[in-house]
Amino acid sequence: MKPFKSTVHATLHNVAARVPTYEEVRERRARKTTGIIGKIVVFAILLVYAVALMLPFYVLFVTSITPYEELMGSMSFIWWPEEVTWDAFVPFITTDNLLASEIGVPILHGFLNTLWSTLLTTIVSLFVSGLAAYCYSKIRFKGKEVLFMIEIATMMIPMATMTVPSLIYYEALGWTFSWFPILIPGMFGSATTIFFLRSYMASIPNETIEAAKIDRLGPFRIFLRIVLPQAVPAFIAQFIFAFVGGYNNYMGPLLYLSDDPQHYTLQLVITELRIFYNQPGQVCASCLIALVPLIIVYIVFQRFFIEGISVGGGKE
Amino acid sequence: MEKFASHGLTPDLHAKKRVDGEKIFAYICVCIPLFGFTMFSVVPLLISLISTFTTMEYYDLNTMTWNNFETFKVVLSDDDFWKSLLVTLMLSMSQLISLIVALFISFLLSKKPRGRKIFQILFFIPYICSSVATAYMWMTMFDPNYGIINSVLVAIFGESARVSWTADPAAYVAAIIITTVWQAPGYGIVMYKAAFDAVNPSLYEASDIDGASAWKKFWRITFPSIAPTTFYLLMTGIIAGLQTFDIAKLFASWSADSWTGTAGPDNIGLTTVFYIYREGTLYYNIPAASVASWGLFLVILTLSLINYKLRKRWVNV
Repeated sequence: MKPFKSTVHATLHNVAARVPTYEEVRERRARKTTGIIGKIVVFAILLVYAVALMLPFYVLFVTSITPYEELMGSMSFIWWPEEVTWDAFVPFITTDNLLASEIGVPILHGFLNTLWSTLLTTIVSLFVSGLAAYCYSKIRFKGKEVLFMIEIATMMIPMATMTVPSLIYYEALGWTFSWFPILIPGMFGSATTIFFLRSYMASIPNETIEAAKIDRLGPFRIFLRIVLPQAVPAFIAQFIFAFVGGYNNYMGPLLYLSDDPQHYTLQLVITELRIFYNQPGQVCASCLIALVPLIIVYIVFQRFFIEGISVGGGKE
Repeated sequence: MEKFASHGLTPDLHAKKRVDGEKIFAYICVCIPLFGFTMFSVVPLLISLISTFTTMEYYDLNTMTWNNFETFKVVLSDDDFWKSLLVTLMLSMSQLISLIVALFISFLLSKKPRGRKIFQILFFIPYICSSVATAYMWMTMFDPNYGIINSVLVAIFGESARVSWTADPAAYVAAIIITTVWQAPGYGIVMYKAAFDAVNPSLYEASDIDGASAWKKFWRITFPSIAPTTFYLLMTGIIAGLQTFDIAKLFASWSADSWTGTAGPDNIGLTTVFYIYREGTLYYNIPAASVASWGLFLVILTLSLINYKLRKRWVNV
């Protein structure tokens, strides 16, 4: 109301600019100062929160470079060790260590196990999901809506609660204590990924696909040559998300791979170090080695992380 | 004329043939994920359901024998089972606290402070950390002797303030909750960012003119706009809370006898999924694990359906 009134006033009396009243000036000044104070307070709170979130990483680092004797003899936190040691990182590259010599290979082996198993499942799953998503979005066939409804409904089944009872099923298949329960079920694609990719692929123009059909390209080739290249950002978003889930998976390897040190994934190696060898420095060093690659991947691809998470993401 | 007609006919036939091939291709591609779901979700679900009515040895399906609901009686009269439900609810508090933290931090971020982008990147990092690394970094911090938290407490309040996080049940629960609250808000902060950005700015301008207070603006304008996101986060938080396992299991290694299935002092860290895990892998009692799993399954399924229905209604409105 106020600005309207003032313009009417101004035009009626033909005054160039209305002079603000004393009260108005005071109010505006007050608002400006509370604005600045407010901004500082907001920034300070966020800064404190950020420091609190990053503190555990500092603790990890310092503990991993502190000698075992100094740590065990201490009754308070060591902010910086008297004598820096890098011993805790050695077993990752040599077998000169209890756990590593038991496995017969450096602990880095666990990292490789995690890497190949996660990459294999994730890539196959993405490919299968991508094909299904392409069919749902670009090919007409009878019963498509019903099948898609069923596919979406599967998202609602909380299979995570059935991880332990599934043991008897995999035992019947003869798969317990093998890689199969970790690898195979994940290879059949995921409903969330299909859902995400389908909506992304819907935006690919039909004309390019029609043109490819006239060139007598089959549906599989159309997928490989036209749809896949155009949906790369969506694939990356889903890939990163699935990869992080597989990389961090704890319960699956715990149930199926924990009997044979050769099969240990990175996460299992860390738990072994903690439970059976109780070397805090080595536990912290291995945590750091597990975390750093993922954090680097995250910082490089953080845009894709956010995209993947906002569309029905969330880890198991 | 005849030549012309046949010329027109041939490509048409070809086209029809190709379309059929395309359909077969589509059916195959669409059915692969559904086949996988049937094989690795539906079948295990059914087997687990059958097992609840039986007694079996080890994991051998051939030894299943009907036991007249004995498994249900045993599980439902097991104090550990009921306690595990209470423990789960208690630890789920951390999801609620995480939601409040996420809301508060997102609200501050929506004020567009300096370095907003960097803060946003930093705040998500805990969320991508594995539960193993998260649990162990916090167990290092909570270590009664060389842990940073006791160090700070002792430095401020003196030696009597030293908390035995590993042996005192209340402190043990607090440690797990703090660890979860460190990790979980990242997801909420990301989800809230979009919600806060979507609030109609003209509403703020209008309320500025009306001279509304910041408090009023938040409850009248911001909060209704972010309510669907809040509800969604609340539901996913409760669902995640009900499935708490990793952190509880990892913290259990603080006790020297954790290999016997002990979950912290007084079993205070025995969540329902931990109970299921213990029954299934330590006692080889899959029927009992299945009974508890099915209970949890039905509860979570109901919550997911409610979430889906309400979310659909909100999004459509």
